[in-house]
Amino acid sequence: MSADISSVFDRKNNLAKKQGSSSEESFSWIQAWNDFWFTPQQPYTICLMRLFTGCLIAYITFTYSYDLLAFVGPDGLLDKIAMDELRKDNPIFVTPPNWFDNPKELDKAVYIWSPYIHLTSTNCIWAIHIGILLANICMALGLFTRASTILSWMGAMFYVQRCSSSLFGMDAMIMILLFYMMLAPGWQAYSLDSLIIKYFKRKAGEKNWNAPPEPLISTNVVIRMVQVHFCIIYMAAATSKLQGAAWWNGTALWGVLANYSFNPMHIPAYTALITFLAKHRLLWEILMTTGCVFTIILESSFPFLVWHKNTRWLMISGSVLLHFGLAMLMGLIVFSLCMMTLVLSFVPAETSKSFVERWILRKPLENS
Amino acid sequence: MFAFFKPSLLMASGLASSAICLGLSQGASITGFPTILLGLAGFLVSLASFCITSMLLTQGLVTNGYSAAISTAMSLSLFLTGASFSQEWDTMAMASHGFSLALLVIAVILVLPQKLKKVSISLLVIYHFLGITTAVTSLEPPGATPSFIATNMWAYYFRHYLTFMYLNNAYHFYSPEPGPPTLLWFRIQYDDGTFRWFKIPNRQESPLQMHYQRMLSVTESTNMSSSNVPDNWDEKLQKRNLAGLAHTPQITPLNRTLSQSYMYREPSDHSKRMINSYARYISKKFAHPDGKPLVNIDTIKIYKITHGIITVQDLARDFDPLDKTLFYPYFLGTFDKTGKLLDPEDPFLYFLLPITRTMDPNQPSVLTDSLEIHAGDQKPAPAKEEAKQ
Repeated sequence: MSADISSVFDRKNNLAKKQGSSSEESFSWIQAWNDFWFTPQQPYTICLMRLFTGCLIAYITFTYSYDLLAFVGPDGLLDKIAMDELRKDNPIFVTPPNWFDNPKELDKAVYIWSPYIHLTSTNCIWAIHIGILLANICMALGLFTRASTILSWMGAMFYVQRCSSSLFGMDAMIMILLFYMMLAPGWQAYSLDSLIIKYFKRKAGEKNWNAPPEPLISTNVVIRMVQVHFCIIYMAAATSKLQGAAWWNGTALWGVLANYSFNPMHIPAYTALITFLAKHRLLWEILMTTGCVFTIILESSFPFLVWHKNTRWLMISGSVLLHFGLAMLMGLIVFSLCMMTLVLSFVPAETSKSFVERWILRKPLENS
Repeated sequence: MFAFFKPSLLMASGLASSAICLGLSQGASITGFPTILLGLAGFLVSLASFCITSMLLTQGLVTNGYSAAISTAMSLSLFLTGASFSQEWDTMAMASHGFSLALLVIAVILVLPQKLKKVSISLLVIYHFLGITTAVTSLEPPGATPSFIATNMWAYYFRHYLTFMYLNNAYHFYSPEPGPPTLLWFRIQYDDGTFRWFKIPNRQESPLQMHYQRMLSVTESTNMSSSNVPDNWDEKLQKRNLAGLAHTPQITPLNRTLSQSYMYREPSDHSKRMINSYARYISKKFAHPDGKPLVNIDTIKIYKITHGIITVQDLARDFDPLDKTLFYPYFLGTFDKTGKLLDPEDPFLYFLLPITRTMDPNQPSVLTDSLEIHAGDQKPAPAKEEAKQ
């Protein structure tokens, strides 16, 4: 099953050819919707995404260990008093459906949840932290995959809901990944679970113990959801950038490159490089404008062009290039890896499978 | 192979644990940690049963009806666990009830005929993405009000789901354009007259890049400014300038022609809460000076610094990106160790404390650091430094 929607349109065209032009009108968009969401798909891409997401969340959880109590402790950066204020006294206002009344307060509570909001014992906090880390490792390994993925999502939620003031884009991306992985049958390949099942099947004397995993509708639903979500992210990022003058005059990239707190400007070679650029205006202008145009064009065209076979790989490569650049220049390595894992959803399952077999497992090609 | 882990047996024990947990919490003879542990065990066992069933379902080894029954049982188990949480653990009770509801929905979908199953999944998918779209579009555009439809739909129909699932991000990265970073500097004054500075973020003190980035977010949380212009603005500015002139050494006055939003940045209520909390955190982290356990904190002065991004022209002229004049400090107040703002009428509160340098090429440049003067670090006349080549 390929990851583009051309198959849906091909079906429409074939139908039209077979039945005359009038059938084109009778082509059912319900059928197209059905094909898009509910066609069974091989699990290789989603399982690869589960593996990467597991590794990323294990690393993210591990990094909390250095200053755990500052982030989730009762006397941390956001202490219990602040947390209670944030979740119980955070008014939400809505505009009434007439032109004259003032906005009215709808609610004061925020629907967040985490045991770290309530725990005061340091030992309990550490016990939960270690438990979450173990679940993350199991998810990466594909051991008790479904349960460990659900626990990893819940565990990650415990942190993001508790230490809201220390979150950044990466946390939003890893939560998206975990949410979808929780719904996916990520145990079907590249997991210890799949190996264990094969072992038991072989032991039981089943002939098809080594059969490839079944294509599932649930795999396709999850893949499609990731794809649509990723397109919304890019579209929101592109359209919001177009509100800023610096993205129009091509200088926005400088705000990213010369930001001392975000960039490796403490490394002399980096500062020397951007100083060299600054001293050569034409080169600077070309690079800055190219960077801005590349970012805006990629983010705004990706949601449309990634669905077509001919432009899909161009879009995927552009996205990988963008996030590789962000990782190198801004040190946002884990954020960029999260984005690349999301982009992986556009890679067809067959490609993921052949990539792993050819380059990771070093299996010989079937037709050779 | 799943004989030992028979889902129905596991689910029965999970349900039993949850029921006992509820009984214990109501009986009040054993509460607290044992109850929570039992509730956790019940949840984990139920989860194992649910996950095994879902694996068996994908392999066609159990029926949809069986899976729906397991899902309903887990829903009941979570409902019981939720009911056993005390009022203090209200967020976890809410989460348990939320998951209980989600599992009931799953159970219903499982027993539906194929077509209705697809319709219901489609409706859920549409709800999910419509919600995400309202989160993206309900943010205020620069200088304008947000969409009426988007904000109302978000507030009435999607807010609970999106917040609960942490899907409420608007994805407006680097927009409308990349801005300067915010730093937080704390000057901790002890009651023996000594003091120390604590500055975040700090690359040297952060063990990992991730920790450093999280600290950048912490500082950014204090950077949401109130959109209201103070009623008595002229009077406020005059008081600030007079207090600066009366200070020894003097603190550079602010010119009326500068924009109000540049000179004065009162944090939003949300940011004020953050600042109070950080003051309490600092007071606990640095309760005593090194090696003096009997000396306590007297006050904490907090400054928010906007670190201006060096212009390309200045970098081309070899200016230092860390030059002090690129720092724009705003005074956030003096706090006691309970995080209380000591003087809300302080004339410098939320005002810029400019750091300036004279730029006469024939004279050695003079740096006037109003931040140091205000903090009390600089007692004598402003320091002189050689002009940078």
